[in-house]
Amino acid sequence: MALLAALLAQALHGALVLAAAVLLPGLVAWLSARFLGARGPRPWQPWREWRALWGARLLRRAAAGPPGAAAPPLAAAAALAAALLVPGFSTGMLLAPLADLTVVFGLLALAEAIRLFVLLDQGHPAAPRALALLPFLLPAGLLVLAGLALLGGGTHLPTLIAALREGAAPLPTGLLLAALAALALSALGLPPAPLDPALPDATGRDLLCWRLHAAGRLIAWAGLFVALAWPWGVAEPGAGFLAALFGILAWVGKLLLVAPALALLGLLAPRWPLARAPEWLGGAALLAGLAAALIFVAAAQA
Amino acid sequence: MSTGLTTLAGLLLLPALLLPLCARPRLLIGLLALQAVPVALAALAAGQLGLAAALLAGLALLGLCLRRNLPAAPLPRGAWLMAAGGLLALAVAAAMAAPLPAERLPPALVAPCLALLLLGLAAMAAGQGLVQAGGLASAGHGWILAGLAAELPHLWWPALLLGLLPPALLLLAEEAPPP
Repeated sequence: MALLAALLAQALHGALVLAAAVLLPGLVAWLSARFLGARGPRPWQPWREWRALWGARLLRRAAAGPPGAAAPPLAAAAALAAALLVPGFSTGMLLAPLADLTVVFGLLALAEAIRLFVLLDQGHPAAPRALALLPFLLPAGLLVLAGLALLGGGTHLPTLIAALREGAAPLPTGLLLAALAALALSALGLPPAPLDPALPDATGRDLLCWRLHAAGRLIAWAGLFVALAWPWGVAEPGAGFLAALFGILAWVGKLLLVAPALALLGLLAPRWPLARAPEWLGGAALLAGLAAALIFVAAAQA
Repeated sequence: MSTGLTTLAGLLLLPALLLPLCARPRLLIGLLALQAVPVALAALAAGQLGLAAALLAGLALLGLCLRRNLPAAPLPRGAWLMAAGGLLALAVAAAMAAPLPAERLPPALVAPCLALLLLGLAAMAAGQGLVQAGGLASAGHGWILAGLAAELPHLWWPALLLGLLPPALLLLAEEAPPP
């Protein structure tokens, strides 16, 4: 019975992630346009584009070879798998044993590495900048991960969420959440970058895979942030139908708060320079280091 | 976190660690060295002071290697911020580790961080070889592996595997025809 409930929760989470992959980028684009006084595309516009891409003709460079054919679906699968592993409305999902922060970071890093590999292979003009960002992203991410692990007693996401919900030390928690936000914004970039990162030149289903990759990484980062920043409302394993329903409403509500925040940030900082991202990542590492130091001091004094 | 999950996470991170080596070896090596910071933190938290000391000694050797063999150029501001954050955390952790009861923070944290560090070090040592500065880097790498073997003997097989990776990559690099 418990296995069936976990399976159902996982399937429902998968459906919600797919729906959010369509609606969240569409909602951010719509809100950005509305804030500027324009009508903007409808929030479900990505769905129409994806359907058109599914049926569009696929053109692929002959020189790309099998790696070129495998890269788009692999990148999309890695980003969507990361989004699937991050607990949404419940921590009692089938894949919960695999829901580890290190694995989620690893999947996101793998998806990014594949995108970079293809950009480099194509000689894309965005490749050098994206490549320069990656070496900063990993140590900053690992420092944030280490800080969160020290705070919550491990890297297992359901455990971490439970520890934060029970009330971890507020100052280190705040510092780590600020560091996580800086990390996510640096990895994604402000709008329109989260919605349309530098994608490799592709057509048809390959382009659809790159769009899924972009949507998957947006949902994964947003889901991770809301799960750790607002751990309340997430149903625990074995919780009943009502708790799950409340969890779904809470998850949707949290994501609905993230969408205008992203749109507003994009408008307030419209010239978000990618060249400043290493400084943001350095700042994230500094905050995480400070949080780790505070955790050590608190543990020694207790 | 189980050993299987640790290995999976490490393997997932490997392409992202290796890919930028092609383009930015100096900056990357310096930044990869920062990956030792979370591991040293976890080691201090778990009361494994020997491992933390070995990590820091190995890092010092790698830093020396970088300074001697690579051209000097100003580091980006982000890298200085990262180093400041890491060093601050390490300094406080080292100061507090002695009175810290080992059971207060879970020793299990060391394993995943360590696997990531080993992958980073493997990539770093390979990068050092590719820029013709293998000697001291290998010494630093070996030092850290020795510290690891002494403190966490149950992790000998990933250590061995990842210890063998840099020489294998170096051999491949030497056998490849010049561009």
